[in-house]
Amino acid sequence: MNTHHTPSRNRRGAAIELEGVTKTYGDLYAARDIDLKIEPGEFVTFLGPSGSGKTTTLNLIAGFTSLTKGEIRIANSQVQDTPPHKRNLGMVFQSYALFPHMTVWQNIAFPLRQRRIDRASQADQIAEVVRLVDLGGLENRYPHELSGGQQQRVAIARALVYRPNVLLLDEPLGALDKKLRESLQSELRKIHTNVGSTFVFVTHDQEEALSLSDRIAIFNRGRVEQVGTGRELYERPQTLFVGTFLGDSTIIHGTPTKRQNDNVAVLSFCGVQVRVANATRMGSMLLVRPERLDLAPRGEAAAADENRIPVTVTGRAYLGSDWKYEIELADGTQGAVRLPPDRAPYDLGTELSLAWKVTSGVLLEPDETSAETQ
Amino acid sequence: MTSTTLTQRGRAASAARNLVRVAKPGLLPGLLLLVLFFLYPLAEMIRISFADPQLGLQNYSWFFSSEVNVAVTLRTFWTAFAVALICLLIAYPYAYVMSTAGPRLRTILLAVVLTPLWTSLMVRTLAWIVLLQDSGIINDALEALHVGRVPLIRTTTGVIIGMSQMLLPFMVLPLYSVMSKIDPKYLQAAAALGARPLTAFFKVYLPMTKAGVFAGSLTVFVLGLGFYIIPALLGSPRNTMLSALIQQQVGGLLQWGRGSAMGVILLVSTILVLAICLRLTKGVRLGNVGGA
Amino acid sequence: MFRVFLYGLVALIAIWLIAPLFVVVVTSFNADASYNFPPTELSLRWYANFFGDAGWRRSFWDSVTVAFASALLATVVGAMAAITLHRSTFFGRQAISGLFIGPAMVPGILLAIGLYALFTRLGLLGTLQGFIFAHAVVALPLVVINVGAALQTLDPKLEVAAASLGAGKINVVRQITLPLILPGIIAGSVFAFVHSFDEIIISLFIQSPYLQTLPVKMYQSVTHDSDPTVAAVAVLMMLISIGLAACTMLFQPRRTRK
Repeated sequence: MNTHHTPSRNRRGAAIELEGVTKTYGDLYAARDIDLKIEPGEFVTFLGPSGSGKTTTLNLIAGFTSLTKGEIRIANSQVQDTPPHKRNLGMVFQSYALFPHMTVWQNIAFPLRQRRIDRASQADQIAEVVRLVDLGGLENRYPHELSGGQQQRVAIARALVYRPNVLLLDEPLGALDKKLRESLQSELRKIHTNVGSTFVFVTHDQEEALSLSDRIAIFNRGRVEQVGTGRELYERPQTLFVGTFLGDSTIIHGTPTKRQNDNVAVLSFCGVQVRVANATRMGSMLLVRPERLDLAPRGEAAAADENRIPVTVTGRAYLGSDWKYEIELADGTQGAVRLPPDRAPYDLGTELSLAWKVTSGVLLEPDETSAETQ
Repeated sequence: MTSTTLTQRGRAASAARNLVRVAKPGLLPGLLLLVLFFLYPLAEMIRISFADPQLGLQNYSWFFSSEVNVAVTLRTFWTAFAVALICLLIAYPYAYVMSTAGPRLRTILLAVVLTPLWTSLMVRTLAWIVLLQDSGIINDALEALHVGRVPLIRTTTGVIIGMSQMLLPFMVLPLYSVMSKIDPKYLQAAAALGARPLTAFFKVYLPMTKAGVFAGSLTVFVLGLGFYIIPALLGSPRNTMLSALIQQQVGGLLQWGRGSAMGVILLVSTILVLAICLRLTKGVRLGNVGGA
Repeated sequence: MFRVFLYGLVALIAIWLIAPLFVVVVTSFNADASYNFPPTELSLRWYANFFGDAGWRRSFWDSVTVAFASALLATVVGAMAAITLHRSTFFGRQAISGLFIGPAMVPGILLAIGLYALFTRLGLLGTLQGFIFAHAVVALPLVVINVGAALQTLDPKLEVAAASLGAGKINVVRQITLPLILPGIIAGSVFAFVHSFDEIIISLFIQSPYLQTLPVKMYQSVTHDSDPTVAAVAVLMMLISIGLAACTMLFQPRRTRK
């Protein structure tokens, strides 16, 4: 049962299962009925605004916070009554939390000493992990003699040296500048492939989440709104919050009129009929991504598989890879459109038609947890 | 309704769990020491004040019926107040210079102001006896200046000089900690807006140091109320303070009940002063407290 | 102009703070048996008197013993309490913290007569144990405050990190908390030592002719005659206090530089 207690030579990640996980502080729900299954060896990111419960959930998995209700299983054994130091997890903190009175070597040796591993094996394991995170030559420095990036490598090395089958990372790159972040991100991916442990990563940076993870869990108000690959979340958000939190979008808020054959739904928006193909369900809000939208002169006829509504250009920016337009819909809603860089620019105030394929876009219901109410 | 009773029960349960947790092994030796040699002696003093020589309020009625006692109490409060005021007047410019000085001068000034904490109370008191005595250097100087000799030792003046010096660190430290956080730009801004230096000081700087003034004055006043050695050695029996009177009753006259009643009165007035001032200055944190 | 006035004022205040110590040092070298200042002639006779007098010597060693034992007791007990208070949240934690600071808030004379009553009954007057317990209880707040301040600056994430890396509660305290708050513990213990070494009010009440700490003997000397031996003793006490203060100051930066 307790296979996860003994450091195992086989470097396989452990599965993590959360069932009905709830944490309350008085009347406040920090985490509410969270069900989540993380596969062995997977890289999962918890993404959400601050106070959305992602860090609380990470702390529940680590055991720093006690559960109010629910069940957590790591490698198929329940851990909710296991103290943190017996869960055999690795954890990397945003502030690195390196022990200031110990050298790099002593910091990395700390978890091995707790496990009473003999000195010879200690040296081997430390040398291996120092090579993995590229810290050679710095073993005898004290943390305050290192740069931020080096400190973070030490923190990762310290959390990996005992080969935990789960590594938890709490916004580990948050304190670093953009360039360093990006290089550490790709390194982190490599380390993950190398060690094969399950990685759970917490961040509020969506780009970081998209570039790192196998799957992303979007947190909002203590709940998991949706779990999926970055593409699934971007293309097929299930809630308005997910749709608006991840990436830009234009939202057409209409009145559902009818549902035609072949799963085509029809919305009425300021007197215009808007069709939505592949609508698995009805909803009053149509979310369309900027690169799926096009701008066309007014009065041009719409193609058969196209929707067109009148808009006004309110902003324009040239981003190199494309043009980014801000537009205003007939009901005053703001939207975003991306056009290829070689298209002739439109002036501000130009009245145009917004065009998109009926197959683009997702129908959603307004929810109390939408981004606007945050 | 049910949910509230449930949370209430939950709270009671967690309070019970907490009580168990208080009995942490880490706290036990400390609590034992405090109960035996702090709480119990104080409780004993309170009990004696009501029970010696017999049960009743006789010690308190004796205290308030004696004009001498009331005069001594008033003198104690007045002396502590005067000491707090003098400390404030001396400490304010001192702390200001500390907060604006360079690092080396600041270190020196800090070391100098902390000497009373690092040198024995007896040592300092002895020094004041040497300096203030009738044939001492200060009186020699006064005579040379044709002012004539003035009694300094065995007077309230001597007591106040000695006490102010002992208590100065407790005034300088909170003032300094407040002043060091004030951005000099505020004063420059006030000057740029046309305020004259004096106006800038009273309207801008002084209000910003209010917290330090309160904390320092309160600490000095409360500590001053309980002073014993300096009044005993630099004062005279004729202008004694409360602590010395307590000592006299207990140590000299073996009037345990009366001495204890005076102790209770000193304790209650100390707590009252603290409570009133803390209520008035909510959120102001006191500096460290200690000394004699 | 204003600056000159201000700095002059501060210089005067500094002199007022330092001058008495200077006076004591000079008086201790006085050749006459008086407190006359400035002395007409200098000598070392009062130092010789101190080292040659069995009574003074015994007081000195009694003071050192009491200060050492009470500082040790207060440090161990106070550091344990401060760490426990810091690491836990429970109902009444504020009140308990306040209780541990209590002995520093209450006027010394009150504790003195309370302990006098208690020690009379227990037969602890003028005993080493009595002095040690009494001094330890008043030194306790100094340790709790200093260790508490050190714990405040300790990043709580370090203890959490240590637990995540496999350290149990005791190992976290031993390998992480204690080494990191060591400067605070040392400062607290030095304060406790110096406080006991200088303590006079309570000592006056719980002393007996068989056990008098140095300040008590000085007090009695000052109230009875004008023997400059006290000045020599005062200088020696000052040297010990200043030496200890210097030790802590040397110790603090060495640890943080590491």
